[in-house]
Amino acid sequence: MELNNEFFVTLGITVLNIVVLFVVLRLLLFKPVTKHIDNRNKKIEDALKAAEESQKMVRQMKVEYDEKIKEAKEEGQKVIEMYRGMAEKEYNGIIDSAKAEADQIIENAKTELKVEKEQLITSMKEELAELVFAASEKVLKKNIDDDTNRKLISEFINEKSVS
Amino acid sequence: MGDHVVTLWTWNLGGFEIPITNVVVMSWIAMGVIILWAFLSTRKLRQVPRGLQNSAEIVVETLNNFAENNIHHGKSFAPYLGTIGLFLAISNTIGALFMTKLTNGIICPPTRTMAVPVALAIMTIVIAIGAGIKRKGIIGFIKRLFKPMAIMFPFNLLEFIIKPLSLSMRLFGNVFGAYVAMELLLDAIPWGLPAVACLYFDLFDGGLQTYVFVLLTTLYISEEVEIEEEEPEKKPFFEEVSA
Repeated sequence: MELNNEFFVTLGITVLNIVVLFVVLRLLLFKPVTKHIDNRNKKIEDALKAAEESQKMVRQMKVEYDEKIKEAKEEGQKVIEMYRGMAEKEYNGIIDSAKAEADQIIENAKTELKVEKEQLITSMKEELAELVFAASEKVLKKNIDDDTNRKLISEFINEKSVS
Repeated sequence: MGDHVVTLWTWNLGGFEIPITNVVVMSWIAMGVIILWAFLSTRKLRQVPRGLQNSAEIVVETLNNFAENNIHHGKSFAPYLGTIGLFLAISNTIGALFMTKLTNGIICPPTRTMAVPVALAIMTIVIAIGAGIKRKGIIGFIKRLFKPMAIMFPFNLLEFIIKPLSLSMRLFGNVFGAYVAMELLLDAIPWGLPAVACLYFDLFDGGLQTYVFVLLTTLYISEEVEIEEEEPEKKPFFEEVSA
């Protein structure tokens, strides 16, 4: 019966041992480690979700920025076109006014030239009359009335120049 | 019982003599090793595991997954499976390196004694029955005993004796067998070969028996927790044909 007693005592103590070990391991090992792993998994999941959200946001922002850049480019193009038009108008205006001014200058020059030419012709006529008069005087060796002669010669020259 | 049990001292508890055997002391040593490991590995849990924390996380996660995959809502059974698994893993292999021979049988695997496997097997079957009753209710549990037909009732009832008996006998037989084989080998060839054989008998066989015990415990609990789906009533043959 000693063996039986030993057997049952050992059996009872083993059951007790396992219960104690179960309680200790549950409190010391399984609960904290499972909680720790679950927390870590949750953290990783949260971080992945946040990263995914950020990526989605960045993608959205990129689309928005691309849209904005496109709009800005279009707007810029419009502004450039507008200013180009304005510049062209201005250019044409400047060119036109310059042309008008040049035409005016040419016209003035022409008028001046005409006046000068007429003056020159008049003075040349006078000088020629003097010359002819002198030459005629020398040729004829005859003193004639100065004013009458001059008048005759001028009329002669005028006739000649008109013809 | 064929095992070598030595009463080291006796405790007197209210007139009852309680013999403390070497097997009990070895169980306490095994428990001490496990508790020390659990304490050291979970003392300071870090986000990035280091050192012993790795081993604790591997053990806990493996057992949680194992229990969850094999038992319905099985995560709550993981601590029990872990307790018997760790206890058996240390107990079965504690006799390695010829400690049993060197200490004249004082240092021995606790599972080499019949009482320890029997205690573990009884606990397993009690837990399996308890889990079954909790899941199906007492009526559902009793109903299960009459399935698949009423005549199976005595056999189903007998299972509650056969299962723990086979569980404990298998464990005890293997560990005791390994012990006897090693004893004989050490007597026949004291040098060289026993070192190699020790790897198989003490470490491999001990580990294998631990795995088998935990696996069968899981299986028994899973069987009790499982709810069989009601089979759809079969229509009479002529109705099936006319349909």
